[in-house]
Amino acid sequence: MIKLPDKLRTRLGLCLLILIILMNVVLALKYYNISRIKLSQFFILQTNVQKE
Amino acid sequence: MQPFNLFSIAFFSAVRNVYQNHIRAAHATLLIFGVAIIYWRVYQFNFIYGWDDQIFVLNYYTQAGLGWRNLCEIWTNFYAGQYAPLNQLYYTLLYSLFKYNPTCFHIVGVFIHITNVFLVYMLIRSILPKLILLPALQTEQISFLTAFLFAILPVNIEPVTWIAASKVTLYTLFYLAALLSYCRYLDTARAKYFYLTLFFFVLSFATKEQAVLMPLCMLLFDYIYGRDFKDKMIWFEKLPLVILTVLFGLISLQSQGLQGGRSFYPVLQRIPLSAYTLSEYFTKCLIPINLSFLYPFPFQNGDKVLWWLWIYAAAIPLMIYCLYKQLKNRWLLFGLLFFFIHIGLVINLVPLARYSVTADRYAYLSTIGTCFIVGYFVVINLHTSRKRLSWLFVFGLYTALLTAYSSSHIRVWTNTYTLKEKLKKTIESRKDYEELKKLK
Repeated sequence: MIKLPDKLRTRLGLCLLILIILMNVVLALKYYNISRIKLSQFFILQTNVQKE
Repeated sequence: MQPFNLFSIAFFSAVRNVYQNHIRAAHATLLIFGVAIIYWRVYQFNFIYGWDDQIFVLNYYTQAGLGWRNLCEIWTNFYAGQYAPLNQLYYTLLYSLFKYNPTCFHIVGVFIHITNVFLVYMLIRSILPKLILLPALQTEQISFLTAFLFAILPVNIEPVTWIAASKVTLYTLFYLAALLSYCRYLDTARAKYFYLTLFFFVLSFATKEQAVLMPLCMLLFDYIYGRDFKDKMIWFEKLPLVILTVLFGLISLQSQGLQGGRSFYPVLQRIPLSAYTLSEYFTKCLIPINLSFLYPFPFQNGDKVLWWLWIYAAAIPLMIYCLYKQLKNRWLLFGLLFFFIHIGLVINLVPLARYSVTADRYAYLSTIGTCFIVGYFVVINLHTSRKRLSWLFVFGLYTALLTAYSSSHIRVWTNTYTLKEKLKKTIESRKDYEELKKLK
């Protein structure tokens, strides 16, 4: 395995952390447009009261 | 010097003196204030019909009262694929007192959250001196900030305001009480605290099955307390908990099995999915954006894994490798492990019968880990950095934004229509809405 200097390794790790967080932020903003969901899952969007 | 400056110096020094002399009272007041400023409007909220409240809260067991027969049925039956008798008992008790009055259900829920906030404060105050030696003032402040962030975090709104999710806040209450008893046991070595830990563990599981993770968390506490893992006593102590965990695990599997018919993602698909889920929970706890009551899976079971999910699967192990040395900081390790232990069960690595890839309520207990990391980082920098004012400004802004978002997001939970309106509109505005409708 390639051995990187400690400082460089830490910076690379922090960059990856920031990249992951940024990706999640972008996804959170655009999630429902990219998510391939079937509408059949969305019975939960119904708001009518069911009688038990 | 201007008289105004003299006055302001005298004023701030008086405030500081009062704060330092009555630090716990000041922190307690601020914690209650933090919860109140966000959750005051719950008295206007209703039940969520057409979603779990209708099944778990408004049901036969709730209405059948506190009679012996109903109590036996509550403790011996599975209901809707779950075994949570203590949570059902909580609804039955509230119904006996207030009937189906949503305001009372919500207000009691907020009181449970406040209790949890104080338990977090006490837990961090107990554990912090074992992690690192700090002046008493800093220990108090880190404990306070952790509890304060936990109190106002937008992600924690769902379990507090959604009545059917009360099992999350209630199980956390017993879970934290068990951890505090365990800390007391480790401090004093008195058996009664260990029995108390067992007692709270059983209560916690009787409220929600996620409590089975407690033995792992206790091992983390053993590590923090510097106990020798070669000592057989450590493992012997966990034996009753492990036996109970196996028993409870089997009960959970059986109760979920009763639901039946749900297919699970294959292992190879679950790896990238779990990497994404883990990072998503972590981000949500730190930077909550566009929170929803439902996050659908990004792809269907049987479809191809989306390419971008593999980025997470590659980046997370690489990041851990790169930051490995930083994990020697015990405070960071504690925060991350506390987060990971309690979220590990719901990151889709273990297949569970769920409709959502993530759910805000599952992160409730885990958020203590991330709040602790932020709290520690901020307090240490406020005390040691040369740019204290900048740190104060950044953290003040962060807290203000969290509070503002929480105050706005909580309105979504007012009733069924406000809850589902946003997601419905988003789906209807999709370009492929008509195409998706055909898949119905």
